[in-house]
Amino acid sequence: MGRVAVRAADVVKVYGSGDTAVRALDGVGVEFAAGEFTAVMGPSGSGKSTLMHCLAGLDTVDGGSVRIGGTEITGLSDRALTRLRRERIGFVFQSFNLLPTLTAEQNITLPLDLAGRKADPGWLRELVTTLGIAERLRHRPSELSGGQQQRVACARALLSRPDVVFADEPTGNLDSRSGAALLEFLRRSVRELGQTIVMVTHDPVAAGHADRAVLLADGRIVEEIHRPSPDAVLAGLRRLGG
Amino acid sequence: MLRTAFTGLRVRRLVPTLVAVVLAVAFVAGTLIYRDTAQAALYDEYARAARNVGAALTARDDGRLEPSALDRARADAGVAEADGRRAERLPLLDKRGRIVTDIGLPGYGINAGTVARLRPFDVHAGRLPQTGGEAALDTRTAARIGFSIGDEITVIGAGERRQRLRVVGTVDVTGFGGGRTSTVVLTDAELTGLTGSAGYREVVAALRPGADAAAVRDRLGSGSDARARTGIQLRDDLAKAASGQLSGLLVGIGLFALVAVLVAGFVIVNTFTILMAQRLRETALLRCVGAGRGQVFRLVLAEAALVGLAGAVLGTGLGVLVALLMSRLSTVLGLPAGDVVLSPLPLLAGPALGLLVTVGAAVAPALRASRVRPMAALRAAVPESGSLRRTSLVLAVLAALAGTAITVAGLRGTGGVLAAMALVMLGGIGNFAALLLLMPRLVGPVVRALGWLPGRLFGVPVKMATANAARHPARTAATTATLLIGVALMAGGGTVAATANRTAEAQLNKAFPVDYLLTPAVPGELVPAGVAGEVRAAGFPVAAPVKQGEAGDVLVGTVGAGADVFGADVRPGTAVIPAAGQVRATAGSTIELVAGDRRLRLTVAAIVQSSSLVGDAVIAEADFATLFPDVHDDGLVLVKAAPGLSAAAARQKLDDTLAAHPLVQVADLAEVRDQRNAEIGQMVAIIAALLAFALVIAVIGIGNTLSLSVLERARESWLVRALGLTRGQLRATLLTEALLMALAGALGGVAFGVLYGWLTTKAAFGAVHPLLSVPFGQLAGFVGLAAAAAVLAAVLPARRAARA
Repeated sequence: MGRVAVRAADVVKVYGSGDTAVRALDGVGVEFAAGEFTAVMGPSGSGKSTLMHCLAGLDTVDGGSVRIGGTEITGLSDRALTRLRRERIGFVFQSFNLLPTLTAEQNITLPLDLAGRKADPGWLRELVTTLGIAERLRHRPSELSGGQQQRVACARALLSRPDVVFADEPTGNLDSRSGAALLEFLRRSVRELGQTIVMVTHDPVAAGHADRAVLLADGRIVEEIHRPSPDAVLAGLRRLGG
Repeated sequence: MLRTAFTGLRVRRLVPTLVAVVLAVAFVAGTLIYRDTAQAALYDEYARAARNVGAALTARDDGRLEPSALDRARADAGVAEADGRRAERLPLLDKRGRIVTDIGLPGYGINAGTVARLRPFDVHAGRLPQTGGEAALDTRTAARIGFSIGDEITVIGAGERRQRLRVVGTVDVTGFGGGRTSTVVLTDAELTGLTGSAGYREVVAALRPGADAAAVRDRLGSGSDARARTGIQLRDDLAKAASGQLSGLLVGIGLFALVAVLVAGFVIVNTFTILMAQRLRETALLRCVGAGRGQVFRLVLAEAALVGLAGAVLGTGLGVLVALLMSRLSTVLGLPAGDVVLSPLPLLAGPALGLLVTVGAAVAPALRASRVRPMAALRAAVPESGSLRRTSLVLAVLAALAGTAITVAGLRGTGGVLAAMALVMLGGIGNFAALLLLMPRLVGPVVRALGWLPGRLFGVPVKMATANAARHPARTAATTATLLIGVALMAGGGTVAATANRTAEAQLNKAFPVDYLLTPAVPGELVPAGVAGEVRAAGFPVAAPVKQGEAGDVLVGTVGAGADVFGADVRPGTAVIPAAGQVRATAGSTIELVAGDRRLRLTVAAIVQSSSLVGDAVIAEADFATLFPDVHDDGLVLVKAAPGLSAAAARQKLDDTLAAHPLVQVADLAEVRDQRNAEIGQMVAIIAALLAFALVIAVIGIGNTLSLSVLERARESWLVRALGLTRGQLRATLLTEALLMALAGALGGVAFGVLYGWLTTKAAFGAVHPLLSVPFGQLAGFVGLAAAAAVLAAVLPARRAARA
């Protein structure tokens, strides 16, 4: 395993207080190597989304440490977190990834615009060509299909060459063909570009595209499956359920 | 960054904000432009008196300059030509034989002058008088009373001497002292003959080229107590007088402009708050992909600035139109009018204000938007509006306590009427602020109460509307607040007017059951002592002479014996004090009246709820004679017609009786009453018209809130349609919601307006007990209008909702 892109150590996240307190994350420790495609899996309520939010600095932790590319992010100010998200993290969400009033291209360059930087035109062209959205750049999200919208979101996430891309159920709203195409693209960006991707999903087929699957239950990591096949993942999930 | 702001604009959603800004800016810019226009018109009018004048010597107060002053001016080395201007009181009779007055002031006669370029007037038509028996009349008066060239007019000279004059021309001229009284231009000889006075009010001089105006002024003024001014100083003083005449009116309009701006501010805050709520996820997404809090804040402000700028530019354009309209209207209302003057100030101030208000109003919503956490992008549902802040409750309680304390202090206070009114109004502002702060808490229960019975009667749509209107209390409160402000002001104004009218009426009727008042037509003159007797002899059962004198600030009056009216039965050594007068005393106390070196100590027999028509203190005839031995003529005469005589016949008889006394004016109480009613009606109408601006903005705010709510509830609408609500029912739901919001605002406004209208009148009347009069019809009209307008504003959003 090479350089570590993201490291979580003993992360605790508690919602509520007193009798109603819920330990959403109960001492999670996990590492994501640079250039690795990891799927975070688990049943509903297992804490997989919470883990992603904490890893990405979207949510605060109640204990433990999260480091992104060597930077400790717990306790960072809002300003520093904003910078971190802008420059070193890419996001792909399940839905509502794009601002409806901006064109596809404006959406892609939005983080750079916010940072006051210019996009590398060669890199941008390469990304959109690879993703097959080069012809759709002047369209607004409402004029794009769901698959195209998610690919625009991918391009946005990758444009700044972030340390890590967090993808939250990226195929959740897509038909199986568009989903497969998107996953194939994520796979390629890891293999060919050395991108680090952390994907939260409950779909064993999606997880089958990853290098590694991390299984969560009740706020703890219970199993890791290397080179997961959909069947192996399903079996793992069944063990959690049973 | 800016690009994101630009493309983030969804023009349709910002239209209401735009309209609110446009209207507010139009009102402000229009007012400012009208001020410039009116000032220029007045200035032109006044400047006539300073035209070609290099230096002027003006008599002080009511004095005159000796003819030698003119000779001296003519002899001065720096003076090319000089002329003397005269102005003497010279009442003019209208076609019915009554004196033409302006605000109670009769007209003046002026001389035609000998130097054409130094005349303070322009010949409008015809020519100037050249011999005795000829006169030129000012155009304003000529038009008002219907005289034209060739007609004969009658003026009253010294000693009630009537003189007929033929009109040979009309002139444009400012009335004496800057007023709008009648002006008759005569030859010098005629003016002297008629008035018996010969001195000049002013000597004006045109200078030789190169002469030093200041030096000429100093030479003219040396050895004289008259005011010496250069032409430029004279012009400046006239300009100041011109703007002074307008300031009251402009302050009034300015206040209404302020209300319009305030209401617009509410609408803008509301629009942006709702927009931000709708854009919660977008904002959160922006934060996810790396937008800082500052960037989000600036983004919202940039958007507000863009809308504000657009609205301000459009509003200024509309303002020019408003100014044009006001300029036209003012000709009708007798206010100065002229070509619209566009100066840089209103053209810059209007847009600046629009920008400032919009951006200022967007600050709070922008701050809230900047606090949106990135996590919000990941939640599907838009959260319901948050809990109400405790701080607002604390502030409301503080404001209410302070407001009530100040109001009570105003009502109990002894600091005079103006101070009391100011305190009550200040207290009203405090309580109104409390009401606005409490609105989010009150609006829910109010709306539910309003919707309860209709909900029972009309079923689901009304029940849904009630629930929806009470759903975002803060939003509904802000929306209704705009109506609350407008309607409260209207209702307050209406209540003050109606209460004042009814109280004045009652005081006059109770104390003076008479039909006519005879007063001197010329202020400072008196009704000859014999007049009362003549009127009685002509068959009028009551003709009570009232003598008046001033003891310091106190008007002391006495009513002639034998008349069966209030005040005739005051016993010597006592005084009766009308509550409406200047004197504050209690029954049984002692007051001292001082007139010159005479003093009189009197016991206050009673305080009566009546007007102070006779005087602030009414005393016995004998006491009056002691205090004012030189007053023999009457200040006024109270006349009652014989029962059974028709009003027209009685009036004719009275006019005939008084034919020999042209300087005695008859005030018909029925006419006075009608005139007062008309004046109050006009005042209320003007207030309503000006506030209509605020109401229009408020109603736009309601439409705005609804259309944004419709967008927000698109899924819900879809769900209830799927569950079986018809299109019509969905529309009815929205219209009812608008109606409920409008009613909550308007009824609250009425309640507050009536309360504070009544309290203000109470403070204003001092010791007089005002009779509350609530103009129910008018108020119902306001509420109905607001409701109808709100429903109208909801039509479009309702259609959009039903289409979903």
